[in-house]
Amino acid sequence: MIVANLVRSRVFANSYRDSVELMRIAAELEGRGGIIRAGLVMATPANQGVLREAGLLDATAAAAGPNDLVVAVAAADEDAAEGAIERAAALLQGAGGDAAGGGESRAFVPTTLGEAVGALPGANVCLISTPGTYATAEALKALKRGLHVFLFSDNVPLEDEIELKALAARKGLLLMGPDCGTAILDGVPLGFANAVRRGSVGLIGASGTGMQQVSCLVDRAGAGISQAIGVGGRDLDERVGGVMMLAALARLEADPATKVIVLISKPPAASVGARVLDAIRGIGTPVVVNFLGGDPVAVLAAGATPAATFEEAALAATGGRAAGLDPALVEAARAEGARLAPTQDAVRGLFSGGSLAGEAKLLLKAAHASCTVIDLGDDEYTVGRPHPMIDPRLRSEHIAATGDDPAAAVLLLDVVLGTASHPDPAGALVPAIAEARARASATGRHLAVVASVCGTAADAQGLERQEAELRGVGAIVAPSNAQAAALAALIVEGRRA
Amino acid sequence: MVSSPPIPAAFVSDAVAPILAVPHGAVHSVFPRAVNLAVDGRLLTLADVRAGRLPNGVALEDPPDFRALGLRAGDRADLSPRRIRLPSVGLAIDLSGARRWDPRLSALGGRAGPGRLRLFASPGVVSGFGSRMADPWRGWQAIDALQGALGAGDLAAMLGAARALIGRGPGLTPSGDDLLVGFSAALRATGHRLARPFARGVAERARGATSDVALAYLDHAARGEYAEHVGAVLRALLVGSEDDVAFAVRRALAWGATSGADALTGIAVAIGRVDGARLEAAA
Repeated sequence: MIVANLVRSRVFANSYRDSVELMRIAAELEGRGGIIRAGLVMATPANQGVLREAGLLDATAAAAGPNDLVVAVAAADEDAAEGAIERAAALLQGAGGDAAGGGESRAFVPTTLGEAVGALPGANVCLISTPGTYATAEALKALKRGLHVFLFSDNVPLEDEIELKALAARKGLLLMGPDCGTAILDGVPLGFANAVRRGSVGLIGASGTGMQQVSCLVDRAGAGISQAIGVGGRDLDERVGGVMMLAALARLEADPATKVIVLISKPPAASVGARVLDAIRGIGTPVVVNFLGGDPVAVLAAGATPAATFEEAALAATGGRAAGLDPALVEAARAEGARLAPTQDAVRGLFSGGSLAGEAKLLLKAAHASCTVIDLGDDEYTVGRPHPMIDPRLRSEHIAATGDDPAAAVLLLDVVLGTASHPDPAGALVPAIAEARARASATGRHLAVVASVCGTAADAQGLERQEAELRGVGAIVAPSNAQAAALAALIVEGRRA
Repeated sequence: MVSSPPIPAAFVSDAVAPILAVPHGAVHSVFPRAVNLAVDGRLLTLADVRAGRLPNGVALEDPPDFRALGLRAGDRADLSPRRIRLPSVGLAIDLSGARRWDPRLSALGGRAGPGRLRLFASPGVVSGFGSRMADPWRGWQAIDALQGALGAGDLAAMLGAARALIGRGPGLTPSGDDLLVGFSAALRATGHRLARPFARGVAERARGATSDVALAYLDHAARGEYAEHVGAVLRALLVGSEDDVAFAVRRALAWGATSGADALTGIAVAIGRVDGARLEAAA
């Protein structure tokens, strides 16, 4: 590991370069050996504050003014720092050019798909994350070049999705998405994904956090994932026809590393469900089907194993057996229930994962628990701000406000770890949970908190650490989202009039 | 020095007419296809017409590479309503055939609605606040505070939140300033009662706190003047179609490295709050 032991900066007084140049130079500096961080910003007071926070503000940068450009680097050694600053100076003076002298290599940042493919000719997957308006055009280009597409973009029109998937199917390619949150291809995570071991379970899902939950529980059971292929939330819509779920099914059937296949989705359109089940009938690999709230009889009739929850799907895929709720957690839930005031009879679910919210809602309704479950990742909450799996602040506000709700008995939460998620999602919610409980107790109520963490020990955020942070603030931490919902239902059980 | 033929100007903003009445200025900053002139404490931008129409701008047809010509900061500029001369490099800009355009934005009526706003919410629209150099957590904290204060109709709190955004973030015009321009434009276009005092308060607080170039846009915003691409987004959002929104957003995103996305973020932050309040009021 490189340890930053010095910070150097240079000020270019009254120096004006356009933003594109500045970003390009900063990216190049960060790509140089021995450079841990680099910043090129106008030395406004606010930006000096940012540099200070980033450990990049030395006395030189601190003395600069708002019309000065400051180049600051944190480097492993003096040579690396000096080299980077000299390079920045040369680029700022227009001496950088394309023909960098002295054998120095420039970081290559492709600006088109063609350039990227030229630089990496063996690539076979293209990840697209442009605004939905342009995503179709980029996806068409990628498919025409013979690349599989992971389409992270949302707001892609349905007609475009149909056209793109038809083209992908004709060319024998996968079009994962649009609005595809997760995939793990040959062990490489794309989008939001967890650090799971490789193994023999193949996942195909139209549900982002549902796939994450199943993959984590498979990992926890000691097994691993061969491939996890997201197909986009609308794939099983009547008009799209499940084209990509069928294509992915055929791929995993042909994959010798995949010994069992798990399908995850909301209930499909009837005709599409029938088509998928027909396809399952014809393949030799065992299949587990989790169509949340769907009909298990049709799945059984197709020779597959139905799973009502993500946890059941993971257990079925790994040959495990449902062991029921941990007696210690049941006891803790009953003890929480005993502390509730007569007005408190409702579960308030505040979720960052849409599929996890959907599963919890289904289970709570099945248990006849009074509940409201909100998916804070839904479009109406994400306009102009990052997704709650990245930025927990909106959820924190809702959590704290739950303390003022006289009917709230249980606060039910999910915490999703993995790539792209917040670096400490549980820790970020802890102050809000404490505030919610304090607000409730100020009016003589006790607020129970039940949570589950979707993640693995190998995730950067650390499963154990995240669970410990939640327990530290008095939450009951369940090993799965389904169990968390069941425990929440248990707490309010018997409180219905 | 041998003079080249004058470069024709395609558009001149109405807001620069008073600047052109000042006979002399100096080159402030030079870019390959744009030049800023400092004239009597204000900034006049001469830029390629493909960069769009700016509130303080003269849009040029096929300008040369000013930097390659050797134009330097401090060089003299001579101005008149018909012509701008840069004698150090023998260049003249002919304004006589230019079309005038009005950068003032007024209340448009209409409502954005969630469908159109969704075009802003895609993960692909990344503002400068997605970059480490903006310290995203603190940046978003200030943005949240700004939105909350707008919801409460609290001008002092709005300006307090704006202070944390002024000069913050990457770029020649730091992301926070671009965001504030978009935010204040959205207030203007929706006819918000705090649009004027907010924009003026921001411009006052920006003196000495951000770059001259960013300050110029905030000063124009204080007079209700915005770049054409910012106004186009708001017109599309409030009184246009979803196709208009898609087109306007695409154009705005092409502005700078993240400046367009930052302005869009500011618009979304303001419109989301204003429209939400209208929806609540209507319910």
